[in-house]
Amino acid sequence: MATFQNEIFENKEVVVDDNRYEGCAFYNCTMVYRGGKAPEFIRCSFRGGKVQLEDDAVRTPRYLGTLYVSGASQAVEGVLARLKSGTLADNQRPVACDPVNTGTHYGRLGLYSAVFAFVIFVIIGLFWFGYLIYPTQQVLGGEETRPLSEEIPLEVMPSLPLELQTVYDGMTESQLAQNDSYAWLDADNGAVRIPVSAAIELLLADGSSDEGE
Amino acid sequence: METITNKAFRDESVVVDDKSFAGCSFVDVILVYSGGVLPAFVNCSFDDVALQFEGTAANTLRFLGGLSANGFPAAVENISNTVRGTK
Repeated sequence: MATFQNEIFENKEVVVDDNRYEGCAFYNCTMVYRGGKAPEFIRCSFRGGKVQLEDDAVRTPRYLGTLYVSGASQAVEGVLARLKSGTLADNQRPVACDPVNTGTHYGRLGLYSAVFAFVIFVIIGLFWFGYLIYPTQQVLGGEETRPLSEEIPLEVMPSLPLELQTVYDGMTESQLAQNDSYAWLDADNGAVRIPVSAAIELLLADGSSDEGE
Repeated sequence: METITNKAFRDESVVVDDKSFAGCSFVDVILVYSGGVLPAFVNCSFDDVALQFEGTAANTLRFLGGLSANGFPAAVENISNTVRGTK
């Protein structure tokens, strides 16, 4: 079977037996069919042109004509009507569902549902074993599980003064006072604390700009 | 070609390829044609017959029906006129 996609046939004689046409356009073409495997036309368009039946395909219209003139015109008209409506082109429509797959097969539905539920149960079980049981039993060697975090007892927590603001203000005031006062830091090694302003003046008078001296 | 004369067919399927029917009646019958040698009907009567196509005949009708279903009803119309003897 040859497949033609999105092609334009114009003013041609096209032998269509056993071919598949998708999205093709036929302009003023002679569609020749010789009785082989019926071609398939999917989303095709036609403008002008004609159909030419040859070889074995010629017999079918002749058979219908014979029946028509012999008195079975009603049956023939039925076939022609279905041809015109396209309802005889069963190869252009999806294949009908298998009757066994339609209707009320509750037993089969229940069986499939049970199998599906079992599979889901097994998957959940595998995750449960893989993430919880296996790491504990195999990796940790059966060691008793411990919580990842422990609550610190209240007595271990550092105690904070009840009047935190007062304490903070006092501490700040003390530190500021130290910045503006003289005191020995280490009398043995000759280290003293002097006010910041005095330290700046000494540095300026000494002419030294090296920090840390 | 097999010739069948003066036979009444009722409630059955009759394969008509390569047969000649003379003076026969067909009542509630399915005429099956597979695209073989054309049958002949002489002085026959038909009452509530259905037509069934197989093989090449079915393929031919699929082809024509496919054209019609894809927007080329004129082709089928020409064939219909030929069948009716109007063209």
